[in-house]
Amino acid sequence: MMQTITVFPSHVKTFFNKLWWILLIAFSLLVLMPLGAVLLELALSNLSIVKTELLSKDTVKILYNSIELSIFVTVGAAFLGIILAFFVLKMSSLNKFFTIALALPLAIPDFVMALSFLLLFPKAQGILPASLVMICATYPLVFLPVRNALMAQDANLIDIYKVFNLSNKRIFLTQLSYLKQAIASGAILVFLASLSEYGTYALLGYQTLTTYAYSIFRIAGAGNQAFAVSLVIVIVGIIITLLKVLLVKSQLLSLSAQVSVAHSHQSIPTSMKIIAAALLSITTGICLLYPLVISLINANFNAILNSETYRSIFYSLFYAGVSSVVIVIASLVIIFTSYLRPLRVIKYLAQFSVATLSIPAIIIGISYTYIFSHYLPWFYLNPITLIASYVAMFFPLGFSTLYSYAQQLPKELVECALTHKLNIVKTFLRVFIPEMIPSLATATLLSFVSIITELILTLILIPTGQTTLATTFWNYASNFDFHQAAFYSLMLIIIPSALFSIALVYQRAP
Amino acid sequence: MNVLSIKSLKKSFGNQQVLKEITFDVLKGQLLAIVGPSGVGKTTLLRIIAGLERPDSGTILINNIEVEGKNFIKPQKRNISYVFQNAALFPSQNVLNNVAMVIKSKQKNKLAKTYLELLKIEHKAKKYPFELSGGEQKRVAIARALAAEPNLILMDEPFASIDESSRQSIRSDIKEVFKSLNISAVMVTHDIDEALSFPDVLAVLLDGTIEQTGSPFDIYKNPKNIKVAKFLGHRNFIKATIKDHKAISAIGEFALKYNPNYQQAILLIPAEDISVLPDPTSNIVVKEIKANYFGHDWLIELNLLVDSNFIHTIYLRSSNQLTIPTGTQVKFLLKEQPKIYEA
Repeated sequence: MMQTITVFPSHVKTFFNKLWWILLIAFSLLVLMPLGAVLLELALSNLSIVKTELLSKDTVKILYNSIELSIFVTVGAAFLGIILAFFVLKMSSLNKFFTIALALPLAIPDFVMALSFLLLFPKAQGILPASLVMICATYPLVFLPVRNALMAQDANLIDIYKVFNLSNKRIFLTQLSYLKQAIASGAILVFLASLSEYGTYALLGYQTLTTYAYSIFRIAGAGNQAFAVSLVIVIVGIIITLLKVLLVKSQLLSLSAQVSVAHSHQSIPTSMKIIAAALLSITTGICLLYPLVISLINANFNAILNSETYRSIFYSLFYAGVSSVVIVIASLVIIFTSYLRPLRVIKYLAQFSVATLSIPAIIIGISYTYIFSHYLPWFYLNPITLIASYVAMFFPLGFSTLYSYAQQLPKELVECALTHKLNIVKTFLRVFIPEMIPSLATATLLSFVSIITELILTLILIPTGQTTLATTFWNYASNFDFHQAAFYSLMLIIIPSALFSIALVYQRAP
Repeated sequence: MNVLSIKSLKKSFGNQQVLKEITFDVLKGQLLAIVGPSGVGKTTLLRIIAGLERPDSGTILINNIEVEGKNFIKPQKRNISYVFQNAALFPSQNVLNNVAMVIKSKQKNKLAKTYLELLKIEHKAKKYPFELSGGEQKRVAIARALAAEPNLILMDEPFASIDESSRQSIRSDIKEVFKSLNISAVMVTHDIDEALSFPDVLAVLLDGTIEQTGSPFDIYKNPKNIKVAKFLGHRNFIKATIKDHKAISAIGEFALKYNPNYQQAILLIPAEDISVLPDPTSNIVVKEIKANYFGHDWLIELNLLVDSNFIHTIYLRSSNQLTIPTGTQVKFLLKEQPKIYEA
């Protein structure tokens, strides 16, 4: 067996060892706590109530609603994402522009899109508008990985297709078969996002498990009923995540993981180019420009003079800033230390952290409420609790972004620093951090944007007397003061979009 | 004085023993090259010396301080520098900073420039690694290794992935710098030309053991055994019978200066030490000629018929193309006495 490299001086080794384990355990607990709380509460509760709740007609109907909607959204977003990914790479000019423009809806909160829809169609309610809004909000989750897979393709493959004189349709279908992994990954994220969404469904009057769980929580608190519904959400999320794991293990998705798939600015007929340009423009118009313009038209700009606005901006920036910095620093230390002590546990953590993305915010909110109100009451509705919940929710996102980048860095860089007499701290600060800067910026911005647009967790755990852009928006929107809400939706479009654009423009491989 | 002493070093990966009883020394100012085929454990040996990997047993002393054995000293405390095969320059730092980063003196930049000048790469000081060619990256990596002022520099295939013309100039520049600074270095390589031209001392690593150590010239001219000779690229191994100070083989009889105490032998005849001439009285006939041109010379492969039925292959190096046609009866002349091994 290969011996583990132990490059720490003994005193530093002890310190880093302890720090590493403390961080690893603390952050794993933070992320796992919601699941633990659900199981603990259910284990301690009256099982007959749980059983009744789980098997009630309402729960079954709402479960059906949720799954039906999630399937609609997943199919729609996957179809749109794949087509857009193919088309965007056929654009010889404006390729970069459209890539960013088409990815930006990911930064716009879903509930802001829902409000835009409501402003144009005030009577829109039900599964159709909810699906359309969610497709618009989530197609980038398929578009981006499929585009990246196409970009990573060996251009010679296209030449080979040409040599064998394959038709454009045949080339498209052949490429599609290589994209299974990217499509499946994106589609599963869409399904999970759709399952855990709250604001859009609440605004558009479509009841799902999340809206049901939240309404129970509001009426009855973090009790048996809320946890029973949470358990259903968790089970559905886990089934979907396991489905992907099984597909990968059964090799059904492995082909695309091993074979890079080609793209090229291969010539396509002019008519097809026009269709491509039109589709890209229409999607950008509907999913990005329309929410922006409609919010701009309807916004009540008097709100800019309102102290509530400044408080909302301050708390939004404060919580997003502190939480994303905590996420990034902890991730960096764990990843750097794992460079020096290569352990399997770090790989499992990376894989596991992606799986924990399937824990919806509503569950984290209810669980934290339960844990802190029962066992740590002095922390309940405290800024620390809110920050901890954000970290629990978005640590997997920040960690996996940094980890996947660090995996691409040559291992020799750290070894090289150490074999040139640099100590551990200097190696971390002067070699590791500078090399991680591109992903550090991306991870920070992604975490920041995700936190600033988070709604349900914030609604549940924000300290009394505080407000963020998302909660202020929600207060107005749920009181049907759409013009006032439109001002905040404008802020929630502009700030995240600007930051997300920076992340997209500057993201690069090592 | 020994800068590096390695005794009885062993290393296994699972059931596979990669290094078996490795023992050698490096003197102050000496350049040692360890040559061996790919996968033989050269990089593992270098990483163990650096402290990046642990051996199963054995001791390592650097400057008479035990760094591996009863004690283990971490890489950053061993006072060595390691030049990685891919140069491992820090991508986000420019050339000057890459070198300055490892200097402890207050005049970092001034010293860094000096080392860059030594390696003739000072004009690229403001460039970033991705803007450099492979050869330039290696120059910077070695400047950085020197800048750390180590007792010993370890180099893993330092001239790999560099075009041939740059490789020769880098090799001679680095050797000159190392000699002028009296630097001790251990280099591992699979490239025979590099192994013969760069070091003061060459060690041949085969099947996990150091088969032979000595000057490159001695090892090339007098390989310890056929395994070493084959690895160094020798090809002419001819069965012979020893009798009365003569080696009698299928391609002729060759006089020997001494008479070994065995009768059945294998002759090693370097391709550059043998030439062929037409001889109508000979029983050796050229059946087939294959010639490969290398610019500085030809490598010619002759398939021979001996007494009409025995086929033997002889390789020879020649500065000119062979003019003998197939079917010619030939004899062979040797420039030097062949090396003899017991069969």
